[in-house]
Amino acid sequence: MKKRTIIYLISPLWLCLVGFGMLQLWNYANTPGKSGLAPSSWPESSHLSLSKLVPTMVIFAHPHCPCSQATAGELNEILAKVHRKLTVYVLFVSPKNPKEDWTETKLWSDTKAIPGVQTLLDEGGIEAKRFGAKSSGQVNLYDVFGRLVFSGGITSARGHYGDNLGKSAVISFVNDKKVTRSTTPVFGCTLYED
Amino acid sequence: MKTENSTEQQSAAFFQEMQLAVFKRTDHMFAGLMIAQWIFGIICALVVSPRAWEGEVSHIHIHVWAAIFLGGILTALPVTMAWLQPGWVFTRHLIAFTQMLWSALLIHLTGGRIETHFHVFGSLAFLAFYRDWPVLITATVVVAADHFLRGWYWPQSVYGVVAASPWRWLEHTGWVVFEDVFLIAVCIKSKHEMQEICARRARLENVNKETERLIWERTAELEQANQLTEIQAKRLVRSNGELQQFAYVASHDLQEPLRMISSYLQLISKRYQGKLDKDADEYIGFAVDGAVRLKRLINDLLDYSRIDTQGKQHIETNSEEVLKRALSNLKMAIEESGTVVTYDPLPPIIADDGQLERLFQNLVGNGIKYRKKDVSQKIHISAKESNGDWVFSVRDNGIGIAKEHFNRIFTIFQRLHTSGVYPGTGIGLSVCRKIVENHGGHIWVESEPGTGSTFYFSVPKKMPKGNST
Repeated sequence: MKKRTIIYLISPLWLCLVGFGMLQLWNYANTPGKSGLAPSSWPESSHLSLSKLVPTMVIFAHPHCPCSQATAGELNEILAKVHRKLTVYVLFVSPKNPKEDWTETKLWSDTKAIPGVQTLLDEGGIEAKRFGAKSSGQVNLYDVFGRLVFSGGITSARGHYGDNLGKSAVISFVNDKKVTRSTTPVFGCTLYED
Repeated sequence: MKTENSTEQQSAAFFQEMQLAVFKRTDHMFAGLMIAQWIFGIICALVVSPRAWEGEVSHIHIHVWAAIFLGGILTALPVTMAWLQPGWVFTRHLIAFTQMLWSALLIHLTGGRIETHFHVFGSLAFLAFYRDWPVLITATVVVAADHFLRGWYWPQSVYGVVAASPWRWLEHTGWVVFEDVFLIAVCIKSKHEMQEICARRARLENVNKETERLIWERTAELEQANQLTEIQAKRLVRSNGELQQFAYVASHDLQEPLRMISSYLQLISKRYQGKLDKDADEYIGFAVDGAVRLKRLINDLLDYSRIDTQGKQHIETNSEEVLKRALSNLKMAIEESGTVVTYDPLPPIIADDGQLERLFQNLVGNGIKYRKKDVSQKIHISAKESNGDWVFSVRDNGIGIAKEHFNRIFTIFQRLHTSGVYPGTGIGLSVCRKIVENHGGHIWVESEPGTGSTFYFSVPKKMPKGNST
């Protein structure tokens, strides 16, 4: 059989394999993580304090989650656009008695480097559970009265940078007091095992 | 018309050859790029997203598997085709197709970073290396299809909105088309330039072929002319040989009847002198004189032909001794004429001594013969070295020769005087020339009428090859 005939026969098979692989990849990227139910008002039991002057945003992240690197990038953009009219807590969830190097990650250091962000360790995921966060990249936005304004992710897919509904919802509320969207899917690793 | 068609066909063949070389070279470059992209994709996945986590538990991230396996599959077919079927149209279109999928995969592996989108534009520029614009169309169709399909199913991940306009994919594709316009223009221009180069090359090669053909024709003609010249030279040599043989045989065979005529004429002259009338005596005198002249002519002719037919080996010869022998032969003529002959010491030379003797004898004999009346004739012989030759001179103070006769006198039967004034056959100097030429030398004369003449002849110090006899 001639080489070209073999290539013609192989090509559709190759195309199917490539198509299947691409589809799996895109499907994974666009499949949200586990979703939790965020409390509609600021949980009284939380150790975090709600700002009475500007909206408060709480972000939960897994320090090793590669997808959440994009969340840190989007957070950086949000803060550049809201001009300090936002209090931001980023809570890195860790197991109880975590190893010393648990938070020694690029995500941790990148987040700490963002001005106006308070980076905290949520040992055992206590605060995450209080705020109903199950996946890394979960963002809860509360107004000055402690009412939940937005809950979800601020990336469009797993580890995907770029404009997205969650980011624009946060910016819109902080800058214009408009609620464009109250929830979006969260794309990230599971914060803790159930 | 035929040449024009041939040039066009050749130009088209050159263009196909050049285009195929470009296609193959670019196929190979892309094969290398694909492998490099595969390695880069794996490194990128390992660095950016090595593991996925569920609390404290982790497993290898799907990006790593995608980079290894999907990247591997993506790379395998185009690289294999670039290796097995370089230059084939299907190969480059598959490469264009795959390269755009590589852009999608790399963008994905780097988290959709805007910087990675430049891979699309860079790849289009790289695809333009093929100088085959349809390849860019294939690539653009892949980009458009990718945006269309993903925008359709996951609009948020592509456009950042839930419900994007159905035409939004055209906006993204538009920027690719924007680049395509320039690249396609470059491809078309480049193709025209290649065609122009090939047309020039074809014209140049045709000119070269024509030149080669002309050279070949001229060479053949020259060879033919050379062959003809060679044949004519051989004929001439043969004819010359035959002529010499004829002259020798004729003069030799003529001697016997001539001797008989001469003897009987002398007998008639002795017996009937004064017995017949005055006219008869005069007629008999003319006949005897004619027979004597004819005898001398035949003898001279015989000598002339013997130079070639009866030459001896050229050996080292004492030219002074040879001169003495010649002068001895001329002793009576020298004494009768009162000529004073002097000579310088002469060198030993390579020569046929018999012919050299004849040469000296003829030249000195001429000096004696062509003397001025009432003036004591002086002849001097000398020799000197010049440019590897011995140049001999025989100088006299005789009647001299006009310049216009310098060449003529060496031609056989050419005489400047009637035999009534100076007796002779016109063979003597031509014999001299033949002897000198047989020795590889030259003979010439310098003279002024009324002052005297100097005859020069040269003999090489070393005998040239082929002149041994």
